[in-house]
Amino acid sequence: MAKLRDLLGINSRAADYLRLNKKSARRKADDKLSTKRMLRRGQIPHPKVLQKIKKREEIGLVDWSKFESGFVIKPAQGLGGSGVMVVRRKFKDKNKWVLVGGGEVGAEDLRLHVSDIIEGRFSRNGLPDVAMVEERVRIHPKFRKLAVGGTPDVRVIVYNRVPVMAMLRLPTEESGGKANLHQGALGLGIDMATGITTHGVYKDRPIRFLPDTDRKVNGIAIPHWNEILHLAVQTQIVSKLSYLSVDFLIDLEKGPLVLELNDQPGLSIQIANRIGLKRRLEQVEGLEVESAEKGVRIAKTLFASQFASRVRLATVEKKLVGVFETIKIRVGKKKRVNVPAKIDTGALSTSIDGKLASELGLLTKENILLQKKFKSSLGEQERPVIRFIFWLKGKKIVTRASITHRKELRKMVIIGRRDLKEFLVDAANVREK
Amino acid sequence: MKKALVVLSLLALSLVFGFVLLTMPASQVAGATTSVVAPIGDTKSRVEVALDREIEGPVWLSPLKVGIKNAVSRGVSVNTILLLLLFPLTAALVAFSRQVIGLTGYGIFIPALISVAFLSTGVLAGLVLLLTIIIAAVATRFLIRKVKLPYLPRMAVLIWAIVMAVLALLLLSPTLALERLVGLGIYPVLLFIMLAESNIEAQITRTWQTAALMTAETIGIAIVASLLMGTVSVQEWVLLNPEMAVLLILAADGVIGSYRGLRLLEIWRFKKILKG
Repeated sequence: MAKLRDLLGINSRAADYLRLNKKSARRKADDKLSTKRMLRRGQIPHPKVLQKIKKREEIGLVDWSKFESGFVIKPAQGLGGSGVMVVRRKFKDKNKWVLVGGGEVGAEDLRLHVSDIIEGRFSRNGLPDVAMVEERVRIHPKFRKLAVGGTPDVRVIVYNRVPVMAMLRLPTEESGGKANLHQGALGLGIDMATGITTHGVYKDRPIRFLPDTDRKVNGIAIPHWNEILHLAVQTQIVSKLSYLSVDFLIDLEKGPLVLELNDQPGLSIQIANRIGLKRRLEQVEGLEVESAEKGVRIAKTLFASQFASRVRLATVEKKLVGVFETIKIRVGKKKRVNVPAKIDTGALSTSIDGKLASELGLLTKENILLQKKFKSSLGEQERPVIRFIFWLKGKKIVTRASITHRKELRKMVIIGRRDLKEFLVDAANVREK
Repeated sequence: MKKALVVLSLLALSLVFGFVLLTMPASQVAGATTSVVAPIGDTKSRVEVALDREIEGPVWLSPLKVGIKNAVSRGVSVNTILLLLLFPLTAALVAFSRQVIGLTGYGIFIPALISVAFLSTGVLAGLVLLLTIIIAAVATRFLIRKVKLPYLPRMAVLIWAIVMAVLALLLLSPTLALERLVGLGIYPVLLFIMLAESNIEAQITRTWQTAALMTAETIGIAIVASLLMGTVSVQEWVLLNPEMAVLLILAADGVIGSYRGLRLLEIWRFKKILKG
């Protein structure tokens, strides 16, 4: 629940935030083609443009059957999702296409739609526009049952390189497959720390269930949440906009793709999250954020919901490891050595074979922490414990390891469960690396 | 489409009601003497009388006032001066309704002009005229929706239909005993047509619901503004303290412009997620 003074209204949005956006940057964000150019330079994943159509004469030359896996026709300067036509696939035997909503069109309809776009029927000011054909993003299986006749997208508002608020937008029948709230789409607020939905908005009113279903609006985990947050900040950095929203589609294979930028995102996102945006913007105002990583960390810390601490220990943040993984061991200041290791949740602590340790030079006097008595099935033994620094799946782990004799075993290192708290072990993955 | 027909018939019904009200003598209509503003012509004498009073204090303290007095005594229309002084007030009122209340309406110029039109026709007669024009426009648009015409020729047909409707209203007004429409000038009619055009444009670019809402808001703002402008005490005060009035309006514009809080209608919009 929000407080009145925490809410962002139209007046404050215009006077305090939109004013910060430079005109040249806004013009780029309003034109989908220059947005894509910018994203390509910044190496930010986005749906590819298959074809641009600028003039009437070019319409007849387009070979529609060459786009195989479905495509989207849209105006470069369209507003609020108008003029977007999503084609699922072509019929095999006839010259017709199936739309995502279920309709059926012929080549003549496609050409007519393109000519409407070029004449500026959907552009901001009615001026002539460019039509673009874009690859169709394949809907993530997680969303398949949630959205009607369209692809859901994830909107993240970024300010001062910190993602401040986010929303999952689900198209409805009424919105005609579009994800725009004022056309009748649903908006679900997202907890910034976990990427799990919290509340909902439909037609500017708070909702608890998806309309006409008994499905709750909360509890849907957004796939690739971390990546989405990072990409949102990176997009802000290349866009040169101070205050913007970044809309993502989530592709089945490619993961999150930046669909478009908006330099004056709507205010209903506050109803979807039941939280005021102004307060959050003020919280990140003036922070020194030099990298996307830091911005994402700030967002996750500041804007975590109450349930976030219970969720974090579960599945969301953890990386998956198999039974056998190659680890990178730190040897001296600079040197790193790759060693195959076994992930062993039956052992408490990590251990390394004595011969390997001495070869790597880890058994120096200053590296041995203590001599410890270990109880095992062979009776009591005294073994040295060394300082041990390694990387598993890119994560640096600073720990200790006991020295054992493993020369008759296949792996010279086992990683115990004390060092596996940040990981999930997939017991089915026994492939050796 | 069904909803649109319901709205249209409601409009027609209120138009008939307006006719009935108009046929009554002004004194019989409840509240008419206070809410229906008499045309400026009637108040002229009283306002001019007020202007005839002696100016107190030195001339340099009230240059505008002295100038107005001189100009009026040499034949400049006191009505024109009064309207010029009050027009910024209307504009400020429109800005207030957008910035602080949150009503949208069609920009600033159309509501301000409509309020001047209401001032010259009177609110009731103006509403009847406006309803006639809007019904003519919407009905014609509905009738020719299947005919394929480009935007401007389509608008031309609409204007033709509107003019026919207004013409009929004017020709019939003596027989229908609509005395208050007899003295109708051309400018209010043109201004009302402008509002109808904005309405049609909004119907095309947005939905008809939004268009209806925006038109209703525009009319509401215009009525409030015209009632304010038509209040004799306001007119007198502005004529007698023109310097103060002009500066106060400017200051009010500044205050309205620097308001950054939530608009009243936004508080309404967000009320469900507010604590307590």
